[in-house]
Amino acid sequence: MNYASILWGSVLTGVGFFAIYIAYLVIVKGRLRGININRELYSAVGAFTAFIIMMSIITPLLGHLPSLTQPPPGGLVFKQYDIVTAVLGIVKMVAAIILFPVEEFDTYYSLSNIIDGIVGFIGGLAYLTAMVIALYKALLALFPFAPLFISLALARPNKPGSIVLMGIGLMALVATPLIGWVASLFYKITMGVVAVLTPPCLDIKILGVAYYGPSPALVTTSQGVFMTNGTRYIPIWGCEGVYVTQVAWDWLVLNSYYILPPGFSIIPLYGGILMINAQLPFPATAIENSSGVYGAWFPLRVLRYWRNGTGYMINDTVFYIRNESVLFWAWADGVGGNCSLKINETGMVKTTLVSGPMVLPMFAPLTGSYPPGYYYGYRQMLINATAFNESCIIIFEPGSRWSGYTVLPATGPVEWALAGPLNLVIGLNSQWNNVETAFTTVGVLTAAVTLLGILLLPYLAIGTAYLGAIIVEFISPLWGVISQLLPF
Amino acid sequence: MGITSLLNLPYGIGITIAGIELAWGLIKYYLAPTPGQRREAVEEFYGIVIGAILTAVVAYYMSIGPSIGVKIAGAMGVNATQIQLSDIPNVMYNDFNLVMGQYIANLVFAFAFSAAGAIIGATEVLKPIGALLGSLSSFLNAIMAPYNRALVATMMNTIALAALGQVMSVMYNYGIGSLSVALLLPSRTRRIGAWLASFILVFSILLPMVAGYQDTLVLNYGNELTAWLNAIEQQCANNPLAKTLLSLLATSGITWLQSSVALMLVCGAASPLGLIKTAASLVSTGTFNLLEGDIIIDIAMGIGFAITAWLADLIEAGARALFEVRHL
Repeated sequence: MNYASILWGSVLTGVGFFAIYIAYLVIVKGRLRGININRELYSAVGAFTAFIIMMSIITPLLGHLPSLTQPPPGGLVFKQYDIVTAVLGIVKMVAAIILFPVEEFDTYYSLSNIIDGIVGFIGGLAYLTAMVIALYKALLALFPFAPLFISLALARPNKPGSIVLMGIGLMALVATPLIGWVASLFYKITMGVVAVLTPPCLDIKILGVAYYGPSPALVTTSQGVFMTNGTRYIPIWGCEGVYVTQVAWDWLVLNSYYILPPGFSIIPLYGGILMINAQLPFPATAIENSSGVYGAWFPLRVLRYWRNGTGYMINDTVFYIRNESVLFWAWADGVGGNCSLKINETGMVKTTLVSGPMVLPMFAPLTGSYPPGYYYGYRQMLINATAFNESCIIIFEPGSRWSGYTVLPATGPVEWALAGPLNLVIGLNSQWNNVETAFTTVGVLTAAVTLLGILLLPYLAIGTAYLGAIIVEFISPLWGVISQLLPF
Repeated sequence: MGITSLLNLPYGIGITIAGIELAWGLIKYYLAPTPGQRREAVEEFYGIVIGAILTAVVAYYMSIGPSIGVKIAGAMGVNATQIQLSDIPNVMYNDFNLVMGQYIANLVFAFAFSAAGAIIGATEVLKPIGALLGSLSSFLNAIMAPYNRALVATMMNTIALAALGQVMSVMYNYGIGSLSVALLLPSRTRRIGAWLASFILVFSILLPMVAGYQDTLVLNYGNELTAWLNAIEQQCANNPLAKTLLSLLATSGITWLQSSVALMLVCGAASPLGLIKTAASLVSTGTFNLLEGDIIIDIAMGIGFAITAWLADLIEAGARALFEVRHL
């Protein structure tokens, strides 16, 4: 926008106002009523000159300030904020639903804290942005009238109202482009940060999971990871497909297949059932009790066989051999026996380390990786047990419960919410230049307004009076000379 | 407006004072012993006549101020309802009640969910249900937080405008506008008269304009919760399951708060997508417009007071030139 064209009407009005005022002083007060108008005239002429000088300086200077742009859509800031907070709110609700009945509620409250933190931060940012945009819109409406306020203030410079009017006029002239600039920066910052947080879609569903296999198992999907003991619910984005990429039981990757849920359900929020079947790569014996599976083993091959050789399973932790040499695979804490055992730790069956969502340490209901990056209570072994002319009992020691086990599924919306704080940091980082510039501009503006208020405005009256006196005293003799030359 | 209606305007004490001064001018003229004093009396008489005319003009001006204000607002592209000076306190009081009611309703909703969550969640087994209700409460709090702040700012504005409206209403009803002109005549009361006249000249137009603008904002954006509930109910109507549940609730004779909470639970669960979209668009539009209005009103009132101070000085100087009697 061209500043001169915006301000031209107002400057002309100011000039007209001064012309009428000075004419009134000279003709009515001076000539007709014969009052001594020297002081008033000095002041009026000084003010008029100051006005012209001020406008001549400020108008070109404005060209160096940021141009007056269209105010950013403030409603959109709140709309984005509301969408993000609404989805976060629904994530909390869904998390509460899927954790029913009571399971790991500390985890829920940690999630709740994360969400409250995100909402508080972006809420403050959105409010600040909307306030600055609203202020800019108000100042923009005031901007064309700024010279008029300045002319009114200069006309009677020694009055309190005039100082306020001068402040408003100057503020409107100088601060409007700067506040517009700051408003657009804040808008960019907020939208940039919110854009990082924007959910993939607004459609949140709860998916039932029916798992058949060694448990507790960790299931990695296209929408995040979760753990299960059998049946459970997980939150997912309804707009994105969900497919299982891997099933691990105590870091051990299993062979698995799954059935996709039907896409339609008449119950709101419910997205159907995902059925997962998983098993070890071979039919192993699981070391099991009522709370889960704590190891597995399998006699892979009989390596040597002597006369009357025999071998059989006694229970899920004990195997008996006689006159045989047998190669076992085991996933257990350890193995023992009363015959010759050669144990080699092996990676025959693939193990896995799964990355969790990015979560700041203080909000870590789910640690950054599943399972922890070290083996705890399990070893994968190849055991060669040989019993020649003797009876041998081979005992497999059960492992520990999976230490990384968690009930809160880090899938879909929950994964998105958990990653929120770090995403916020990333969003702010990407907008860092804008953040710096915005706060520097606010600082400069504050300093300028303070200096203007303290230093300039109190001396306005004296300044204009002196200026007027100089000009009138200069013009009067000149006018005397000119009037001598005029024939009428 | 005819002459008779001009006579019906509330001139109050101002016209009495003007009349007394007029009588005093006449008495002075007739009793003046010298031609010089008689001339003083004539000057004073003319001044009083001008003052009497100005008194009527100011009273008339105060009566048409609101319509001028609305026209100015309209010319600037701002929609404002026309409110008479004497009606401003009542209109602002009603607006305050509306906004306060909305604010309380927002808090009550959040509190109802939170309290229900706390009570239900006290039992170990139902802890997740408590958390569900608690999270619904924090969801409401979070989404409504900027809107609630805008409502508080609007309430403060309506209080300030109602207070100013009360002053202007008293001034209008008691004819202080006319009195201010009458006070310009004697030199001893000229300063207060100038300030009053300036205040009346500025705020007879500015206050109804700003109050009308505030009223329009409140009517359009001050009751978003009801609009939100209505919109949710509309969305709910498309879901047969939710519709059945709602009709059961409607026949159970429960209170409006319970039914509203139930409506939110049922329809919110039935159409979370609709809940988010409706809430987002309604609350965001309302919040921004209310905030923008608050800032505009604050700036306009600041400018109004500055112009009042500036104009008072000018009026005093003008009145001195117009009514000062030169003693010969």
